[in-house]
Amino acid sequence: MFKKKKEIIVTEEMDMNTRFSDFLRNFKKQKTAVAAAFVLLVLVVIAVVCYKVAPFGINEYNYAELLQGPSMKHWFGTDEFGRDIFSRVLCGTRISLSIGFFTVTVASIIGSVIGLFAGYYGGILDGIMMRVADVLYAFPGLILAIAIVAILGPGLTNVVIAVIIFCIPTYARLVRGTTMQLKNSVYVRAAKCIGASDMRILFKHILPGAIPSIIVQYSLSISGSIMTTASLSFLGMGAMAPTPEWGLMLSNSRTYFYTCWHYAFFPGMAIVITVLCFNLLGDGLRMALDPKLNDRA
Amino acid sequence: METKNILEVKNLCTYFFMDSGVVKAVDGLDFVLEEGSTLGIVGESGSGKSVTSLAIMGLLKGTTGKVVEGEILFDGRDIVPLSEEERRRIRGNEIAMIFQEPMTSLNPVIKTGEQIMEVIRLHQGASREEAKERAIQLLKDTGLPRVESMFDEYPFQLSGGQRQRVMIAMALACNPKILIADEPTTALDVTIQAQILDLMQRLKDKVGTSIIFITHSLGVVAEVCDHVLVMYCSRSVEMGEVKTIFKNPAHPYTRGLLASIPKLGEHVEALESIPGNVPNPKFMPKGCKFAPRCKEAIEKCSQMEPPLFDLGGGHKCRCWLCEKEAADVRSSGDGAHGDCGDGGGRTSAGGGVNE
Repeated sequence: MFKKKKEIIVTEEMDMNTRFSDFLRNFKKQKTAVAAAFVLLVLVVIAVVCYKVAPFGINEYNYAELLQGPSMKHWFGTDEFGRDIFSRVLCGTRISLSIGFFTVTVASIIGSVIGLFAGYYGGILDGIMMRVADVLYAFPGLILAIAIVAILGPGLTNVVIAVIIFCIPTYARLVRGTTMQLKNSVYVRAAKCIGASDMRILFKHILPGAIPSIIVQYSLSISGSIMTTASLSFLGMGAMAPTPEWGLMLSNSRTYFYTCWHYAFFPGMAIVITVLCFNLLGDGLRMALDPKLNDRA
Repeated sequence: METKNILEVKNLCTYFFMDSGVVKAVDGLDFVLEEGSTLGIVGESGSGKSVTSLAIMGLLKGTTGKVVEGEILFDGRDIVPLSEEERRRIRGNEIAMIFQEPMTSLNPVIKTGEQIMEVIRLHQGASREEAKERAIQLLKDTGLPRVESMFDEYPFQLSGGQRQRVMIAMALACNPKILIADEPTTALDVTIQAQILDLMQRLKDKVGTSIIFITHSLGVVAEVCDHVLVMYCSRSVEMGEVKTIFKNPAHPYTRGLLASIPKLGEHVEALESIPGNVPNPKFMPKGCKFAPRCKEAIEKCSQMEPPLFDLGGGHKCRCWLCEKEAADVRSSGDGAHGDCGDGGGRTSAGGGVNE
């Protein structure tokens, strides 16, 4: 009996040893988030293989089959040039996902670093950075992006820059808050006591404390980023024809809205599903990473 | 018998510049720490004990506090004017510190072993393997069980006593010359307190560090310290060897503190206490700061602040009642016969009350 007890203790220790397994266990409880993660995984795979599996070329004009409804040949129908909408939606995944991931990755890195420094050093640096963030916040995201694109000129590259700029303040604020809270903690003082440099304290002792909130925000921002990219393309400021961008396809479909439902429906659904999944994933991550929201953590 | 002073604090003044005014947290503090000895700093909350330790560590940067005057001589060198970079090399390496709250002084997101290795790698430039080996050895020295598995655990998986042991291991990782322990046992229960004190004593002898022990508890001081410094309202009021202070406390405040310790086997209705409260640092009384609470206060006390009178044998006291005694010590030559001077001096201080 004694032996058995010992075994239990050992397995418990091993189980507790990794925070990651804790996180995984919590995350698995969020059924919708798991489903969303699964869908996103499929989308990522599609983004990788889209050009290989698409039944038609994205710019394969076919004037014999203009604006046809969904059929066995063209699952999502065809557009005004007879191009296969299914193939175009499929290939649009790569554009949207890569812009989403890229912009948010860059923005989160820049924003986090700004937030760390502003929160840790305070003073003038903090004042300037946070006032700039306030100004950026004062604009609705899309209007700001439009303004930036208006200055830089239309095109996907400029959309990427615009989205990065308007995502940065969110991270700067988020990380600044955590930093200000953690910089007064005893363990940061203890780290100073062992002679750790400011950089070391910032990146090794404070940043890890902010990572959970950054991860949650990361997932939520990607959906925002994808939305903004699509919106700008819809307004004619982002992707240029004939790029198979979802927003641009929606924009082109407006003319045929009353006659061809499928033209707007499928690219629109692609946006909805992607954005929804990122949001659901973000919420699930928040629940899994924050034990306070999770009553059985 | 000449002992080397590893740390000398001379006229240390640390002020906090707040919007509402200047708070003198430490005002003209002098003390020395002899090599290999333990100095206890005792005082009520807000008497400037912790600020003193922060000033020695150079951790006031980023707060509103500043060392405005005075010197902190570490190994004969004033460390106050040193650059941040130079201070950092001293911190953790030559002067280490343990905090009051073991529950919060380890980073919750970094593995325990990793945190100890960090100190070693920062200051000794050791490789990962060497650092790990040394860290494990350090943890074993602190008497922790199952060190190997604890190495990869996060601090939340350890108990308070275990964490304090980890902190001690961290603090002693680079064989520091001075260890500042800021109420290291306050947050622990009594049995663990005794163990931790014991451990600190043992490791002190092994590593050869000098310790500054900041505490509320005179019991702890009696247990571990060689010298005591009693602080009241940002100043030292009495200092000397533990034996002297406990046997012949000269300052009414020290006497009050000693009287308020419950004694084993004695049955009393209520414990002794010192009446009144510590004065607000912004409205310090004129003259002796303890005078408003002092039972033995004379007229002079509320008019002029007493200097630190030398009672011989390193025993110093900031009280007018000691003036005569100090004069006797001075006239009898110097502090060489301090021990004899003490006994006689006590009576003369008593005479001072009757004046």
